[in-house]
Amino acid sequence: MPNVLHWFADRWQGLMNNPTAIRDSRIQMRGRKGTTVISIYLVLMISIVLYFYQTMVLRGGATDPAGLQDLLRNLYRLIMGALGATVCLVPTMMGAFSVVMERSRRTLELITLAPIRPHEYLVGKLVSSTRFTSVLLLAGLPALAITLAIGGATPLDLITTIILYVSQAITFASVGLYVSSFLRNPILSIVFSGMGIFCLNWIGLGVRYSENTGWWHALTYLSPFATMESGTGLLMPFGPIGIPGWIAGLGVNALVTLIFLSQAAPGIDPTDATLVRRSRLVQLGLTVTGTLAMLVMGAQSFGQSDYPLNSPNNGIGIVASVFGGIIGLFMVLGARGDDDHARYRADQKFNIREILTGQASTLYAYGLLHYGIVVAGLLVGALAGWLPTPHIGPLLYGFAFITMMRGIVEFVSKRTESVKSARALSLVWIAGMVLVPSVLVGLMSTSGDSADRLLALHPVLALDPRVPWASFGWGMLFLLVGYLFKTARVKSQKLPAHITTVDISGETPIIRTDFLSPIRTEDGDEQHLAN
Amino acid sequence: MLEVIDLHKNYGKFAAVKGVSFELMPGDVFGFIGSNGAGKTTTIRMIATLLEPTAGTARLNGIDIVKNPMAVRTMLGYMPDFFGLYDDIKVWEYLDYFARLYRVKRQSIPDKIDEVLSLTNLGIKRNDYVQHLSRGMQQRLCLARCLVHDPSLLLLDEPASGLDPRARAELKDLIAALASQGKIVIVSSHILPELADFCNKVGIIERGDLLEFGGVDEIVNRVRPERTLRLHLLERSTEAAQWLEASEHVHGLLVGTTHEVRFKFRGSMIEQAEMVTGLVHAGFGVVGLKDELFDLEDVFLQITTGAVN
Repeated sequence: MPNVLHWFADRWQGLMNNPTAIRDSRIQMRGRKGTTVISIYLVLMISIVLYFYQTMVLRGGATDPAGLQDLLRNLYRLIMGALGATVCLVPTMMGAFSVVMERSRRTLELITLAPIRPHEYLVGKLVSSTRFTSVLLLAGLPALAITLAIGGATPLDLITTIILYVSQAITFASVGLYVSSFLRNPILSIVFSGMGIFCLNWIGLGVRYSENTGWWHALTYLSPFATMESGTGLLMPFGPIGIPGWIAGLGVNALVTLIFLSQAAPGIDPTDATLVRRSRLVQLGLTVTGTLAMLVMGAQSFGQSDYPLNSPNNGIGIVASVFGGIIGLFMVLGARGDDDHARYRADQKFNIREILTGQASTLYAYGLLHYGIVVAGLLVGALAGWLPTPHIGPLLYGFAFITMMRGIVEFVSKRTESVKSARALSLVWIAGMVLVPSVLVGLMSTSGDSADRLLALHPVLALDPRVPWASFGWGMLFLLVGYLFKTARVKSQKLPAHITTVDISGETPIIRTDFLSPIRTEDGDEQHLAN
Repeated sequence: MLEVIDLHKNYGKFAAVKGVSFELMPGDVFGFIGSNGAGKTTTIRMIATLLEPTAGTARLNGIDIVKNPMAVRTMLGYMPDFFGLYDDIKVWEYLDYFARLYRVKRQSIPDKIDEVLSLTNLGIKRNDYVQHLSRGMQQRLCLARCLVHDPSLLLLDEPASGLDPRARAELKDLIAALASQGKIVIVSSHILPELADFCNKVGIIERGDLLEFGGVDEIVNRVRPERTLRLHLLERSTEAAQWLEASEHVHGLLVGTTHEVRFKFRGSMIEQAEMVTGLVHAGFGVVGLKDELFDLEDVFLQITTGAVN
């Protein structure tokens, strides 16, 4: 136990002494700026509460305790909604601006040159992105206290909701930081982060209003609005035990935050092979989780009478699109042009000891090891009868899809010089690989083909348990495509050979480019000649 | 000690740096000379661990920059060709931030800040906001940032650009003071005569190739073994010319006026001194001997073609 305490004490000490958090705190909290904003916020909040109380409670004629309770509950929801909007906006924007501004100021380069890990820097930025929102949330507590009167809301509701809001603020800031660590344009960073937050809220609200129940209802707590609607006291079933909703929500938010931070780290220092490897490992974990979740959803829906209609709405559709979208975003933003691609060392040596001890810079070898473990696990599971045969295909499908995306991204990176083009092309390729067969299946469906056959031909619907081997087939195809892309060599040169010279003998420098055309000499050798 | 060993950097098929090698000892001030796009900044950024070399490596005090970049980072200070400052922060806070990033012991940070502020002559500006500093002061603050963790190697990329003559002179003194503390200083600059003043070693790079490396005099002698000398005499310049013609070190004799002989001399400083002593002993009234100016800029222009990548 004391060891655990020491561990927490060390982490807390590290957090308190984080250089980036300290510096940002000095800037953010200096002078009258911070105090003024908090004062205005408090005056507004207290005014709203008093106005509401005055007009609706005292003059509204709610004399019976039940009516009064309803009114106070409405007041509670109104304020919590406003706080939820604050949680969605402020930390996201601060996170989205933070790294991008450091990059445009060119201070990020000086920071990465210091002997600190990108995680340490990102944690500092996370603290500074959420500090202000946390202060606003805590400062609002006294104003909210009025809703506790006559049971409008319980103190536990209030405290757990505020704690969840703080954890959501941290999650949203991590999304902003993730986007910000890969982009150079602040406006784009805000737009993409906003889209990310919209998606998280959509997941939370979607799960909140879906009919299915289960452990995955903990995803409700990714959205402050869904949290407000759901309350924090629901019990989430995790196997044989039930966990209070707010604790499950904290876990979900912590997990999402860790995922985004691990993906953001290579954006801060792309030369660090360990960070890249870890981020890919997380992607692998997400793929496993996503695939398993799809299987569980499918299995849950399978027995229902309206299964084919019910399944995509309640399970597979949501989970597949969420996980697929997140992994696709990581892949596409991780695409780099040839300039950056060249930074990674082409170290292909396979050293099992280095891999197991986390010392390897051999991404390829690392990937092989994990794929090997997965394939071995699948085989053992299938042979021992623990894994139902129809589940092998979808599992393979998940791993194969990520391999294919990785292959496409690497291929595009080798062929493209700029990061922007690499990302755009990767997106087009990956979307094309899914959309083109979808369109074909769509066209075939109008010609009266049988439903099962169409499911098997569709790259996503092939996961349907009714066509168990279709996902296996698609998985094999994805693996093949990924392998071909990954091993494809770049043969052609983008520009013909040329020499650029600058003549500075005159007053105005003259830049001259001579393209060299190959000629064949008498003895058959090829030479270049400037024209 | 810094050993740069066959450093290469390719971007696709384009070679930005092609096998740069050199060695520097503590106290060396190395001037890195080259046109824009010659590969100076790429080389410096590779040594600074900001770029990974395509091939080759460098070792700082025996530690490899490719294998152990984190350890190297603690031993180097890098001042890029931009300031990299925060406007809304005070001078001491800026230094405090970087001291913490470099894991300087918390108890010693205030003393360290005072020390580097005093070295860079910014002590009086300790509590000023960075945005209120002049350009020269901001440049010195950047240098102070590089020094806050007491590095053994300083990489200064175009440190004198945009500075007024006084600020440049101050920077020169500061670099000399740092070298006297045993630090290795690498300076890239276009202002060549200034480099010659305080660099004991220079390297000339063009299109990624290190064309020359060594001491300033050594390179000048290597590039132009003959020097043009002007001998001023009280009288008898024609006879002096005849005397000089017999010397094995004198070529291309030219009698200028009755008081001056101009000739090309190929030899060391010792041989030059012996020649002057001989002239005096032969009874010529030597008033002075002047070496026609041939400095680092002439060397640079002579050995580079002006072509850029």
